[in-house]
Amino acid sequence: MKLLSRTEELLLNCILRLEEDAYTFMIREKLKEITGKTWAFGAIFISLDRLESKGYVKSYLGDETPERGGRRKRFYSVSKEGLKALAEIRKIDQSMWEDLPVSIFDQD
Amino acid sequence: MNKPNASPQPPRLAVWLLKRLFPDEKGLYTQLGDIDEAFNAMAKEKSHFVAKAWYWMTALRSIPCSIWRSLAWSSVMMKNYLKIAVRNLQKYKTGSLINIVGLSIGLAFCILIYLFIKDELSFDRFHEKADSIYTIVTNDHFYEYSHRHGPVPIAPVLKDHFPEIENFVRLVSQRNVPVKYKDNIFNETITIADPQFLEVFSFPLKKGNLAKALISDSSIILTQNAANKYFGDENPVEKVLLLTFVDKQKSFIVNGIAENIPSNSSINFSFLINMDNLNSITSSNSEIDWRTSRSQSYLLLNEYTEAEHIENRILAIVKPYMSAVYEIRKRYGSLVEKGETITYSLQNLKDIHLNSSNIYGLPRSDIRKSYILAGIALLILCIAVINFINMSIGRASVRAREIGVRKMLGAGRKQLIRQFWIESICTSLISIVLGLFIAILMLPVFNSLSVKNLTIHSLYHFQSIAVFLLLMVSVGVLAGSFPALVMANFQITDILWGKFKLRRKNLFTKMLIILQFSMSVFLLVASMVMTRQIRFMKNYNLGFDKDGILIVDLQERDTVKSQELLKLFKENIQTHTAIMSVSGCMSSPNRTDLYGMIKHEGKNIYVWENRVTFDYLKTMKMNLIEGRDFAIEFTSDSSAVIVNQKLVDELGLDQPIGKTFTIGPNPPVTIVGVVKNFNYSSLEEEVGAAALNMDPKSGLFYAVVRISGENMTDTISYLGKKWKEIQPLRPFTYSFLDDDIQLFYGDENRWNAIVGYSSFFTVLIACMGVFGLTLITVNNRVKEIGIRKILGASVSNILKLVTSEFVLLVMTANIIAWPLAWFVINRWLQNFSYRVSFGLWPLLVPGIITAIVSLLTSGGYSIKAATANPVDSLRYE
Repeated sequence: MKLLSRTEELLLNCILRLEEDAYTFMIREKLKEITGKTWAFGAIFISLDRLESKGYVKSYLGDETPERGGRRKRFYSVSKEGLKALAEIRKIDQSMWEDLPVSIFDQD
Repeated sequence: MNKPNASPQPPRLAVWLLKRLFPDEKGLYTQLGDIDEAFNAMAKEKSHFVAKAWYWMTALRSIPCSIWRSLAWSSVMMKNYLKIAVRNLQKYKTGSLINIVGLSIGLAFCILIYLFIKDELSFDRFHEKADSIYTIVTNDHFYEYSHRHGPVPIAPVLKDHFPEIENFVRLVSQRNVPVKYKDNIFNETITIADPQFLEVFSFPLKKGNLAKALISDSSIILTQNAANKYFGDENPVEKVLLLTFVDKQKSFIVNGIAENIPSNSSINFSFLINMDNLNSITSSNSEIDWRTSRSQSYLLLNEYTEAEHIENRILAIVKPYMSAVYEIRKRYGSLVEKGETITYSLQNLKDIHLNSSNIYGLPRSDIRKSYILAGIALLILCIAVINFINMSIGRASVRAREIGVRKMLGAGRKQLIRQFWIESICTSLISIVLGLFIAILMLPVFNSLSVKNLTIHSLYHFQSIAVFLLLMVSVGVLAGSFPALVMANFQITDILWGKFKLRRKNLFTKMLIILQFSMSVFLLVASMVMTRQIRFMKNYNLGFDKDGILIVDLQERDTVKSQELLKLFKENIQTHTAIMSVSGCMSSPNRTDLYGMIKHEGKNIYVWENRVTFDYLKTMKMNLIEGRDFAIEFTSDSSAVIVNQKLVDELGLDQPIGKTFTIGPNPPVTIVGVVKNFNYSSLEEEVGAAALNMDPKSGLFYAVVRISGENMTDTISYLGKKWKEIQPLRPFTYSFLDDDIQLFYGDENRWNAIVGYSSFFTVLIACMGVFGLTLITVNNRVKEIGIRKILGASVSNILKLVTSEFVLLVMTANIIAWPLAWFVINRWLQNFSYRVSFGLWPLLVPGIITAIVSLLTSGGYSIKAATANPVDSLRYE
């Protein structure tokens, strides 16, 4: 199985955290919270599309809300495959950092 | 904003843009909703302005990515379209072949004509200073024509008066100058030019110094071709050539080799010598001779000068010098009461080639030639495109199912049209590659027909390639448009239910076939009439017998010497049995012509004068009506003339013999004989008045020799041998009189060939179309034919069923084309004073040809269907 990219990993992570509230706007807010950076919508849309076409996330339509110009929300949830992939990448992350002492980042 | 709590709206234009970039067929635009939500949050948090700016940023940033994605998608579709296009080409092999062959012939014609027009328009533009070089045109209001030759001193005089004239060049051409190097001796045309010639014009030198090459009066410049002719592989520089002017010989040192003159140059030279030599050629002092129009003059103006500015003031400066000429003309009895009978104007170098309809002196062309050729090429292309359209429509019912399925799967109109365009562009791509090959193969034939020197190299040019690509795409789009529009408009349900029928297309197809055959018939009629007219002119009785007459150029322009030379030549050859008769003359058809004017009862009669010698009538086999021929017994014959019937009529003489009249300022002459009218010029012109005289003050430039038809080559080589004995320094130069006369009709012969070829190809392509359509019709009606056969239809019944439609269409086309062809061709015939009557044959023959050929092409395939066993076509699996 191909490994997740970092963006995909982040997105899945956000969707899991947001639980019932995972639609693009909120995902973007969460991303900002975690990474401290503003994300372009385009990048998020494309990655979400890709995740969906790979079967890692599922989406369903929500209600209309006035602050969205009367447009409906598209909610995302992580699928079984998504969870599996996420678990795998987490394992790799852990094993990748395990043996390295934090002190390597201290310069001088 | 009216409502205080109303949320700010995102910029509308950006919303529109985003909607386009994130298409959503269900119209939900959930993604847009997310962006709006962020916008609102930002507007609350920061300011409306920042939010708006951010919104715009988001919209604009999405553009590159979305373009990329749409490209990726269309390339996927493109791959599919191409695949289907290639499959269709392979599936309908015969049809594709007909389309490709037709289109490639049409495109080949277009390519050739494009090269032709490009060459025509490029004339004389290679000179760096072309914009500022003007030629002096002499406008003769007396004889009502203009020419490029003027007095030799005019250019220097003008330069002295106008500081705007930076430089000038005069050119004098001298024909038939014997040029000798070792044993090689040829007659050449020598160009005598001012030494600044090479600086004003851009004729680059291969060898030699541009500024010094022509400085000395004994230096000569050769073109590469001329140098090869004389020196072969030797280095020509510093070699000595011996030129003979009149009777003086002069040595010239080769001081430079010029590149060969480009074929798109009006000015042409092979041998170039300095202007100082002019006086050794002409007996008078040319530098002050205003009476003879001897040189072409070119002025180089500085960039800031308008030509009109100088043109308007030329006359005032030239007038004092020209007064003598005007005086002489007044004595002639000028029609122009007062004022100047000769004026001068300026013409830009670039206008010489295409803009000189009434200006003589240099080879010139006519823009109408380009138009007619372009018209013919487009006609052929049009016929090929019609084939394509007709066959696509004919096949529409077969392809309807494919279209239906495509539509059902969601293909839009635009996508279907695009698909058909891609198919037709594929065909035209293959055709243009094939067309280029055909064009290259036909180039030699085309060059000889168009008197051009086009090469394949002109094809490898950015502009040419761009034109070909444009041609390819436009032919593809044009040919694909109609089938595309028709098929894209199909109703899916009709197609899939099998109710599909095309009624209107049938009428359209018929109209296109009629159009095709009308064009073919038009060209066929034109070609027939042209051929008939040319044959008519060839066989026309000119008033003398032109066959078997040899015109030998004596190359001696001195009066007395030429007469002596002729006498000597005659005495030497007369005894040979194959030589029937020998005489001499000053002018001969298509050679130097001399016209004089007779003032008679207030009107002017122009008369063609020819100085001849004894036996001229006998040699030419002219028919004497009244009086006698010149004879040695009559010593008064130096003032006698033999005139033609036309001149007698013009003078209104009842008893012409013994009457006298005066030509121009010459002493009066007496009529001793009258001959039947004879045509000394092209049959385009009506027969003119002519007078033959024996004036001893005129030279005899040509020997006229009638030889018997047997062993002509032997006789000619005998003549050549005798010539060598008496004139070892000059080459034996001769031509047949009937060839000289045919030269009048060079243009007509070439046009006839061009129209002949084109009509052949139009008929060929149109018939290929008929064949292709028969194929489709028969295949579509296989079952119908089978049922008819079972019900008792005979083979001929079936044949009639299929072919009668085409034959009927072809007949209709004929009826439409005839009046048009009659009108146009009759206008062309009006150019000739002597012409064939139009008659019925030139209309009927093309009609019969097209009918038979279309019958054969459509019948050929249908006979296969008609004789097939109906079981094969009706058996259901």
